[in-house]
Amino acid sequence: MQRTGDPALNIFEISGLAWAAAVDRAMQVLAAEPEVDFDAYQQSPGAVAMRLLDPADTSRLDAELRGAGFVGPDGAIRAQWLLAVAISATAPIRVSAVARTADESAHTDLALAGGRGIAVSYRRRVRTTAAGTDVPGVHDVVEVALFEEQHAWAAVRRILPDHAELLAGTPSAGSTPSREGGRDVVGARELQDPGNAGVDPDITAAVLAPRCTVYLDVVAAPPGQAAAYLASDVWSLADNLYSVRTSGDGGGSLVLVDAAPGDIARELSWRLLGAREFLAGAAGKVA
Amino acid sequence: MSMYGMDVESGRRLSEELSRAGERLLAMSAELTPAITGAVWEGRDGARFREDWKGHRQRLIGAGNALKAASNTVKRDVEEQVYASEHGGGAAGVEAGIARRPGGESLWQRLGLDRLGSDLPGEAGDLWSQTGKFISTVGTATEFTWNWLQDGAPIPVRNFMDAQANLVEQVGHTGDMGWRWLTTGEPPSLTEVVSNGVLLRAGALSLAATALSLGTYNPHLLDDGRPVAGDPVPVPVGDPAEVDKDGRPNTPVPATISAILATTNAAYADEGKPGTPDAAVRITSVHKPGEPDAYVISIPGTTRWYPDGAANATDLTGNLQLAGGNMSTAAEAVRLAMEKAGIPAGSPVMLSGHSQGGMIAATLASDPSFTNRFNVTNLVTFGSPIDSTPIPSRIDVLALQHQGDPVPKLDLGDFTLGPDGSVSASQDNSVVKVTLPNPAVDPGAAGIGYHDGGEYVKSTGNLEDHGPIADYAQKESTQKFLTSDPGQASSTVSSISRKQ
Repeated sequence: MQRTGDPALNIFEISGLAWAAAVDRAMQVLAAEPEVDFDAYQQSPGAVAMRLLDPADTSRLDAELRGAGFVGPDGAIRAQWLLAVAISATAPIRVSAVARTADESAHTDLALAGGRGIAVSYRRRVRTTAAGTDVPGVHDVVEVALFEEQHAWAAVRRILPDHAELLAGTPSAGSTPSREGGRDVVGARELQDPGNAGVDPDITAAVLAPRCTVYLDVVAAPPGQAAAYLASDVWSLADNLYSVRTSGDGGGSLVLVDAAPGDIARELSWRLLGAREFLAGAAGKVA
Repeated sequence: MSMYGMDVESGRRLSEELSRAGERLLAMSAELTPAITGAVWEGRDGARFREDWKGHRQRLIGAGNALKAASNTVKRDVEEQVYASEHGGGAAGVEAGIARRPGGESLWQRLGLDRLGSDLPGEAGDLWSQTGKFISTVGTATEFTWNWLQDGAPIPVRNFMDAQANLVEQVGHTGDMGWRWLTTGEPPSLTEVVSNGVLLRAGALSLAATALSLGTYNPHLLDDGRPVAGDPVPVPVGDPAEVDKDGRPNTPVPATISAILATTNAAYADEGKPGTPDAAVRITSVHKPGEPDAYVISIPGTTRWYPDGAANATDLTGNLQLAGGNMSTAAEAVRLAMEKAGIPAGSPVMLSGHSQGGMIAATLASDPSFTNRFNVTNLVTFGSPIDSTPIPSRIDVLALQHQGDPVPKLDLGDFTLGPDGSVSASQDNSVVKVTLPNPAVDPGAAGIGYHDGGEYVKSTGNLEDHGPIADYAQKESTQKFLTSDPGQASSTVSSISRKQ
């Protein structure tokens, strides 16, 4: 992630533990609110760990939160950060995005409510093998971004590596991908057979050694209701950008569809719109 | 606080008075503070007075904000009263996505979401104001702390990580929120998927009621689906308050712009009717003597698609709605419906869409492979974010937005960063954007109530006899699609969906 600003966002970069401490302070204040499950929080391992920190660590975190403006001179969390944490805890619309390269994974979790948004972003080192993905290193930094809801894309874009195909805000004119010739189905056998000339090398690279894989989930859940909405998308970038689907046969095959630069931004907008329509419908309104 | 039976006008006046009183107190504080702090008054008494003033000022601001909050409470109750009276029911209870306490306020309103903007000295100000702020307490040293957990984390945190796995699914939102930077799992790589057949893992978002155990996806969520469209089914043209034998509202006579919108709105009611199980578009053709037939394609918002045969089958609780298909698939399904309807090349075509339907319409209008096949001359959208879609200038576009509808603001590419960090905002297309006054309905969360298609029909109907909507209707291109003669219009409905 860049260490510079974005005009659409207000960004606060603090240590990961300081963010956990800020959330803890806010949860103590919000304990009596019916929308917040304080009992569950108190029993959570994270809250327990926070209570077990020694005074030196707690003082250090207090100083950091004061320096960032999260708390006042008396150590009480400021009203607007209380609101930010409340939105993060109870927002009806959430977006989760992961951008993974060969050795690093960048995450961002967005919460959108009342026309405002908060994004918490963080990075890890990763190591991918056939057996799975390890996390050998954690970056002790989180970036908390605050923004107006219509700038959700700016918050997601911030974790994406510097590739134009990923960062583009809108598909260029005439670039709507055609499915004719732009759809490939690949399975393990095709990829692992070195003599198989039937798979485009870029498709092989997109599955086995992509420059970046992007995962995007949008969830909407009205408070107090069991209904929920879930939308998910995956993209893979080799020389070209592909939208990744599953083949529907449960056999581990993937379908890679050509995606134009800007497809991620456009789908985010599409998904958020769907989430809004779902919430409006759940509240008895026709979207 | 319910105010059943309250005189609405009195309530509105009370709300305005409370707001004005609050503003007066806030203004008084803002005016007095520089006068007091700037006054030449040396010595202990002067210092004490200025120190005391800080407390008085806080109380003034608190009282001012309290009056404004009371004003908003009264205003909301007035709106609920109006809504209840118009819709014949009880007061609107639940905002889309925000639970209300019996007193009417949501958590965020109790926390002051509607009165942010403190001007206390030393405060951060509104955290959401767009100043492009970047504040860091960590500096650059942390670039070397990738092994923080092993080497630098306090022991309670190391113990917490050692003892736990897949915490996210166990504790839910409130427990993990401060720790997700440490505890969130990684989605599987594509290599893992093809090697092990591992289902792509959901993002680590716990749901109150979920079929996603251990973070694995519902197997149909990412299934590839091809767009499908059904054969056109005739629908009567006439009074939309009447329905045909299948329960579909009639297609309104396309006499006005609001009638065009009403047809798009009627298409929402086609979902679930015989022949249109998922979503549907309506195609209205206008036959004027001596002119080629003109076609209006009415596209509602459509996100509730399911892979063929999988509707709700994979959701154990019946409560999880999967957003199957993406925008490209939806747009292609509309194209297929138009092909099946046999719209001739060269015939004038108007695309009309609400919400996601407007996004589909704008995307099709900007696609040369589509416009080479269909002669799109007009585009009418309502409640849709289309500012950034590069629609050719030869197409006459009317984009309608209620002032408080948050959805059209979900737009992309409004900001571009120059190499020197400068910013420009621009629209990429020549769109006649008309901002309509908000309807008198419950605004809902961040104004989502203003997004309702039916409200757009009413608002447009109230304003289309003059101004920019009238100007658009009088355009030569638009006139091809408008007729007050029911005999000159015919309509069909086509299902659109996706299929494995």
